Amino acid sequence: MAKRITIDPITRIEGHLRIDVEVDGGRVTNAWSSAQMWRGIEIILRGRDPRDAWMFTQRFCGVCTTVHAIASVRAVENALGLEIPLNAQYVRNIILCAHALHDHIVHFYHLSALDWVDVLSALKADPKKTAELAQSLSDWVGNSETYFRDIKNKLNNFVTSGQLGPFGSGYWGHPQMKLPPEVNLLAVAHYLTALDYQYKANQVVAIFGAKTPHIQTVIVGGVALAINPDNPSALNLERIMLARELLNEVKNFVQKVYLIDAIALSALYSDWFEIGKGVTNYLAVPDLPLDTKGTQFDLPGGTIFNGDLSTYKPITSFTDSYFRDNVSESVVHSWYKDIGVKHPWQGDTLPDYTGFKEDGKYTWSKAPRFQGEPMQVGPLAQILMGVASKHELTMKWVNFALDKCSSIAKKPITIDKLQSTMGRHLARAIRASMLADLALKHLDLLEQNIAKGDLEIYPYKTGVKFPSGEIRGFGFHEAPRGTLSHWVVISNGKIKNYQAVVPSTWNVSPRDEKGRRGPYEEALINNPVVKPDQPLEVLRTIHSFDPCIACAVH
Amino acid sequence: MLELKELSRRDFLRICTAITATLGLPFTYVETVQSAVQAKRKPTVIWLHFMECTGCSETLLRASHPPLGRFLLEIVDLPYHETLMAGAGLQAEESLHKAVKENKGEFILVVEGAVSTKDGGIYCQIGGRPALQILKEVAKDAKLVIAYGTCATFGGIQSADPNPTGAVGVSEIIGTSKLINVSGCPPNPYNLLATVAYLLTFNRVPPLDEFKRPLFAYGRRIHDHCERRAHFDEGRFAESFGDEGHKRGYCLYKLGCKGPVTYANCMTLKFCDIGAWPIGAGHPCLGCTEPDFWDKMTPFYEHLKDVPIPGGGIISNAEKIGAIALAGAGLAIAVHAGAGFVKKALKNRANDENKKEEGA
Amino acid sequence: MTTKSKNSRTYKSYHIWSWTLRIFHWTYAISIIILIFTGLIINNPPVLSSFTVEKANFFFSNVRQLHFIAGYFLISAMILRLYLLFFGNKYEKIADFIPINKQNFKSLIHTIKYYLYLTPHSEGAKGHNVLAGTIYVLTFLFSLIMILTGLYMLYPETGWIKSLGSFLFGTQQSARALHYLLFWFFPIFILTHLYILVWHEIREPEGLISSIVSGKKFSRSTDLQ
Ligand code: HEM
Ligand code: HEM
Ligand code: NFV
Ligand code: SF4
Ligand code: SF4
Ligand code: F3S
Ligand SMILES: [Mg+2]
Repeated sequence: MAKRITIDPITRIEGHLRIDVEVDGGRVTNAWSSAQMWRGIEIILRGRDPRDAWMFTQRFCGVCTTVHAIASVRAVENALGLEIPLNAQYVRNIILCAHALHDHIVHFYHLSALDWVDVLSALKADPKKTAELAQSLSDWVGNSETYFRDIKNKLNNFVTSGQLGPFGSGYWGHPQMKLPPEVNLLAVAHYLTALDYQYKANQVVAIFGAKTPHIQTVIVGGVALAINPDNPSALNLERIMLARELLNEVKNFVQKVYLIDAIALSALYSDWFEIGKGVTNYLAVPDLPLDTKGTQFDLPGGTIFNGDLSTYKPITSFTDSYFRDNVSESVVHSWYKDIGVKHPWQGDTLPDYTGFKEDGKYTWSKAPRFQGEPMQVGPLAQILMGVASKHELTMKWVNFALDKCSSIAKKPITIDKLQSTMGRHLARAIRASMLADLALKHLDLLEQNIAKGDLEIYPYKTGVKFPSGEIRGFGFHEAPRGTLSHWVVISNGKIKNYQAVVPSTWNVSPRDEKGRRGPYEEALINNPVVKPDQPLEVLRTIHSFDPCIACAVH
Repeated sequence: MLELKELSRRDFLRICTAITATLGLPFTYVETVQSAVQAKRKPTVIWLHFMECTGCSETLLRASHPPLGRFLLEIVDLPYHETLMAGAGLQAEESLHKAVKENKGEFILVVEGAVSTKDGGIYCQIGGRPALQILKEVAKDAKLVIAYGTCATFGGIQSADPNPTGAVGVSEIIGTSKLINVSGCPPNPYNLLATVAYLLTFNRVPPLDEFKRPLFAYGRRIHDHCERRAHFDEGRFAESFGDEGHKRGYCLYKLGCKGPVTYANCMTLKFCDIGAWPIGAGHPCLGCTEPDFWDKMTPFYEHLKDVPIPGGGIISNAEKIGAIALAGAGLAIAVHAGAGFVKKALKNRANDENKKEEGA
Repeated sequence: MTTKSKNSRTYKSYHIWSWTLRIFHWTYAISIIILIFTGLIINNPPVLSSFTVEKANFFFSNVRQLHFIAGYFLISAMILRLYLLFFGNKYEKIADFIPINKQNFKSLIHTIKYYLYLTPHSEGAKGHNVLAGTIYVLTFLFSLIMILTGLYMLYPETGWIKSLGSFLFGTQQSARALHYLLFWFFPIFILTHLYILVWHEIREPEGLISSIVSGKKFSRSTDLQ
């Protein structure tokens, strides 16, 4: 007899998510993912100045922050047919990389590690052995015995205070927690250290974004970050040097600690390469543009269907019609009035709450589809595009990760295995390692361009003007959680319609009009659940997507 | 909670030994446990998320003094915070109930996000219950409530016109008697951390402004300490992003800066300990700490354009209306004067004709 | 009773505006004109500095200072007028020129007809006619709001001003918007005011214009009984 489990709230994610599963014989047989909040920002945007849209859309989410700002200005720029000054592209790109570095680090250590790491077991670890283990994995300077001993003492003081704060509710001692105490101590230590490095990544975002979360320098047409090497109140070489030092430190941490920890974790839990595959159609968009028009990129994008890399089809520019023409959203199972399957330019968002009806409407999330198919988006999708297109930087880090993982797991872990719960974690760490390289590359590009005497950041001679009549635009961006697109219809300089199709919308998607499940739902099928009152395994698979519900529904 | 006074030394030792054993620690740890139990208990903070973007929580990751790690381990006890806590679902719900019960009248409640009031609040639910209901229940037992961020303080983005979900700030639901507002979208993390520090150090609420915001953070206008102020006073303005004035760090007033009407400490405190802040970078202030800034400060790139006509609530363009009214007045005058001339001419003609008739 | 024909009338001079009122009027008029011009500049300041020499010119701070000084004159004038509204001479008191009784209401209607050329003669009110009076009261009210919103912006940290300001107008931006919105009333008022005065003067030589300087007005002798 199938047992129904409702997990609400799902924690250690952004936003309000409810997951329902049916468990039969220790396995999940059916699943529903239900977003629990709607704010109506798409409606609020109507009638407003398109130059302001990015400020509003950025507040879709304070976790991925930056990304809706960038997608929004790209959508409006696309509608206006604007080219973006090179400096502005680079600044946006550095922001993209630095922010994603912070986001991926925080996701791994602070949002998902507690699914795999038993904090209390770390108290039993021998710091000396932990140090030996850590040193065998990586030459990170922090891996000393004194360091781990200090962390263990801190943990002791904390635990013995009896006030366990956010850790009091954890799944300590759960049968699925399988790491030895030494590894647990290593992870706890890096939980704390990671806080320092995500902070440094954020400082870089703040250098170029003025503040964070919610940067305040991106504008339609370019950036508002004044660049002037000869002025104390503009971006000058001191700022660039500061950014470079910070990025170097972050890069070191990401490539020597985060990636290594992800590899070790995945090797030690290698059975999770067999779980949580789910929807195997993948979508990613190219990003980190290298020219003013957005036709050359440092990150590849495209589609892959049925998990078959040979079906790879690229998306090549900011005006790509393959992407533009094939996105739609269905709302049959969402708490909106049915208006049929719509392309975002024709989309609407009319609330129609019914309560949770498992065969009817059960979520605030819409169901995005590409050529009518559900798609999985995220770092994994991007890595697969890189592999399919033989992207050099991707291959470098994928090979590094899989070799090391195979050697620790003592069995071959192939690219194919990345299509899984654990694969999503590993892909994210691989992506972070790539972005750490790319952040520095784009910082260099920026500096070189400034050195050429180019200080342009915005088309100030012509300004940004809206024609009378109707124009439409779309802008995409490869966010930390995957493919993001914003769609805008502007009439006489005012927003007439605005629709966002967000990475987490793709992934948290409910069933569509044909009854096909979305990626979270599909990935849960066959998940083990050994203790239904502590459904840790469900959390593992859900967390591997890095859900963001404020994003998904907005 | 342990009442130390009533315990004999021996009882106390026994309890500590028991704790040590429960935690599976070797006997040598008893001493550590003793000092930990004797140490001051950390104040309990419960953090609720409602209609928000989690940007406010994220700010805590952008602070260095104290860093989040120390804040969590050593300064406060934070048993309920959905983005950080280990447990989900049942385990999460339980820890909320337990924290409220065990710290009745003692805990600090931090609220992030607005509350939906339309249709019974179904636009934001946690554990199957509307935020509206959860807030009322938990706030009742709190010692103090801190509304963190413009969503929680004033309703924030979701309450912007036409406010499809009836979103409001915390004060609209629970009043202001035990409320401290820390606004900003997102706010500067130090404004929350310092508020907590203030409460713990002075054991009282800091002086607040009319909107219940601590004066140490919201007592000054951005404009009055802005690094570009000299340029403002001397009439040196950037006229467009990227122009010569912008590159020279001139005042952003003409690009729509709301610094002159915004109370906050961004200009002195700045962000992320590297001296970054919006105006410093070259982008105007949005006024993100002020009530209804999404409606009142927009369009962001205009100094003042859409003025809400008082009473009507219709957003209208004051400049246009003013110009039309002025032109209208001019026109009315012209017509009036014209009418006078015509009338006079007619009358003169009539008089002439009368005279003619008389003379005839 | 003097004999009168239709076209030749006799006028008699009489004293109507106290010197206080006249001082008020000119302080008020001049400060508002300055406030309008300086306010326009504050709303959209010209960029005067050249990029090669960043010489301190303090143009904008001077403009703003002038605005605030004029603002203070306006405040003084308004205090004076407020006093006169209740303690001034018969014609200066508020009750004389707002439509609060039957007679004043009739006067209002008459003036409207007069301005619409529906009746040939003004009612020859001794003080303000009620239409004008009502508009003046509105002007005073708007001036008061300009003062309050202005002070709210000028003294961001003075406790009672800030409390009153946020109580009345909410955020400073709302006050600023209102300040700007009501600004438009004043040029319109002045334009109309001056036009009507001239028009009146042409139609009825009551010496209206000079009255605001001399305090004396002329009235058709018949009316003076
Ligand atoms: C009829 C009288 C007045 C008129 C027509 C007037 C007009 C204006 C205008 C058009 C602005 C620009 C608004 C903007 O775009 O931000 C302004 C700003 C201002 N006015 Fe007035 N004003 C009047 C009276 C006053 C008074 C009595 C005060 C206070 C003593 C005052 C203080 C201010 C202040 C502080 C500002 C803002 C200046 C700044 O931001 O630098 N105004 N005024
Ligand atoms: C050359 C310029 C002006 C002249 C000759 C002038 C003349 C007069 C006269 C004759 C009156 C009395 C009218 C009546 O009884 O209805 C009057 C009243 C008034 N004028 Fe003017 N005026 C001038 C400019 C202005 C300006 C610039 C303002 C400011 C906005 C202004 C505001 C007023 C007000 C408020 C009253 C009502 C006085 C009271 O009852 O307190 N005037 N003016
Ligand atoms: N899903 C999502 Fe985002 C991301 N990454 C947005 O585009 O997190 Ni809030
Ligand atoms: S105040 Fe701003 S940053 Fe905070 S939750 Fe609301 S929208 Fe997000
Ligand atoms: S930039 Fe803004 S806050 Fe700074 S002086 Fe100019 S107007 Fe004031
Ligand atoms: S927009 Fe907000 S962050 Fe500060 S500078 Fe303005 S108040
Ligand atoms: Mg959408």
